[in-house]
Amino acid sequence: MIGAGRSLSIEVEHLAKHYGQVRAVNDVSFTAREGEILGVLGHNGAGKTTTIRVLTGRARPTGGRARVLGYDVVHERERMKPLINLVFEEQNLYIRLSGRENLQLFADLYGVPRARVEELLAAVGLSEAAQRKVKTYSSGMKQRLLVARALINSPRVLFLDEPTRGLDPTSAREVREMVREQARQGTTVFLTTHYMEEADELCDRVAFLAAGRIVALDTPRELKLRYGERTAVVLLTSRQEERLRLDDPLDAARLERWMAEGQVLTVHSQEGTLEDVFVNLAGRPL
Amino acid sequence: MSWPRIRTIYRKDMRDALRDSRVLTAILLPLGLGLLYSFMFSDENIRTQKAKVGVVSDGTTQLTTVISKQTGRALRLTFVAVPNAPDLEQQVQRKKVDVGLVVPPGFDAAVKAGESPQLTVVLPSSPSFDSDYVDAVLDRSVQALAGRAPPARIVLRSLPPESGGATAIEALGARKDFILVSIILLLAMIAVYAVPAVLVEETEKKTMEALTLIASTADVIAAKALFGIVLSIVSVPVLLVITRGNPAEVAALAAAVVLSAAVLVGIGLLCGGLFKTQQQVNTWSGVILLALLAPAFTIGMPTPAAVNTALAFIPTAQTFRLIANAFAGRALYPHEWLSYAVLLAWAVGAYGLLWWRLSRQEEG
Repeated sequence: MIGAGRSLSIEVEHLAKHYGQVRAVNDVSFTAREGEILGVLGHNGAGKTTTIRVLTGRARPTGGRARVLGYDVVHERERMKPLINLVFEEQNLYIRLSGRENLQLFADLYGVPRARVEELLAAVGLSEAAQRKVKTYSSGMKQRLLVARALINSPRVLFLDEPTRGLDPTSAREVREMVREQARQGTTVFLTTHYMEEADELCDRVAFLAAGRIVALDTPRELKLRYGERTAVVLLTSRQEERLRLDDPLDAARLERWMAEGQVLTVHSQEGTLEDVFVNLAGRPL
Repeated sequence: MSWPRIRTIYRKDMRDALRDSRVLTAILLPLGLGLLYSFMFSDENIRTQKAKVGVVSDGTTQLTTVISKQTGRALRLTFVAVPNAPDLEQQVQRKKVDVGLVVPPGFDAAVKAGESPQLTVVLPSSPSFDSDYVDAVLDRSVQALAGRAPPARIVLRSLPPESGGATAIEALGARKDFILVSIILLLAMIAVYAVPAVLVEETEKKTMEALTLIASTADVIAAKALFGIVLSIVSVPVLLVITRGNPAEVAALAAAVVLSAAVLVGIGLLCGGLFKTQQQVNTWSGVILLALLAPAFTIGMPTPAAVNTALAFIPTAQTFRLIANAFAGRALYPHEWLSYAVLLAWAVGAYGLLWWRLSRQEEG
């Protein structure tokens, strides 16, 4: 229930955002606790970015209510703004300015001491490149700078919109580690992503968004148990490999028969993946 | 709105602008044109005619001084010494001089003695107004040299200029007139090209979204307005220094420039809100720039009354009038209060519309 519990950082109740006839977000409700990483997965246009826009006070909801850190995102957004931050989907940096100048700009806007800039540059490994213009940075360096910028005000709620999109595996891993570290320090992280593995690895809970609605919200493990398919890969003495659905009585009977006949060499059981869960719920893969 | 945030964004804009070729072009192009004009044109009124006269003489004659007095302000003469008559004919032929005079030795004394010495005038095959004019004043000049009283005493009475009667180019000369045009170009380029380009880039590159996470849209717009106005206020004196533009009334010029910069930047910000891409800025800013520049070229020209009335509504027309008056130190264009009123009306309109748009955006 909205308003209950001090540890709730994000409280959303029947949130809706319509653009003309398009229902970008439609009757969405959820909460996020302090220090929790909440992942939101969905196709393009599912309403992920719109939800972030509303929760960061940059778009007025058409219906419902949302509170971030106890502040109404419409009526109290000016009080909320200094306490939150966002890593944008686009690498929206000032490319003619240096990395340091980019961070100093936002340090000044948030009223944060300049020492924080050097601290963050060191934290994201950009101290040596700090004087260089951002247009000379690699995509990974820009993304790390974006994360540093989003941490400039030590936000209590950090929104990340596709933070690892287009990054090489090493840079993506670095960004994920930074996110994890923030959550460990008590920051609530609201993350949208296209990558199932990322959501599975990072998030305490995951919400699946389809056509502006949340179709499932739980821990990755619970989602997989509830909606995923348990399967087993069986290698027979004939060197033939069979994939069986353990919840299917016919497949279970086949496995039992092969075992009785001594035809089974190995059996590997497999847990359902988030991808399977998403396909089951949304009808098509990401 | 928060002043510390406006100041922070303004400083960022300034730092970024100095590395942005589009903004630098918007400033350097008018400065360059102003410099070029200042070398191309002189301070003299364009109606002042000039003529070069080749003279063959022994160097003792006072005839050239007397001719200069006779032509006065109507024709400014430059005398060039030529060694002999054949050379003089060649120079007239090749149009190196407009007209030639062969003054024999002892000419002045012979004239005074009433000996009627020969004075040869070499005219080109197609004499110009200037050469004919020199020819026409010779008779009077020689009579003056001979010390004869003119048949009538001619008294000149120069009337003071009628208020509003002279155009800037007539009153200030071509060089200063083009400096005024360069000032208008500079203000317009900064306002309707540099400012929208900077604003559109914020939208296009989504840096605006990062700024408005903490600042308000109004803070960002106010910073852009400050950026445009300061850039204008700094650039105009630079233009005046490099072009040796020397206004008679500095305070009046400053007031006109500051108010005009504020108005034009307001228009530029409105455009920046309408344009979505840099390509749109490049296309449409050119059209707006032409509309803003037109009055600087047409004011004072013999245009139909309806055109003049229409021009009066364009802010740069009023800017031109005010800065022309400031340069001349007198009211070349009367009713300065009307110019200020038109500019203030534009300022209220532009910033009022901006405020309305921002309010809608903030609510959106």
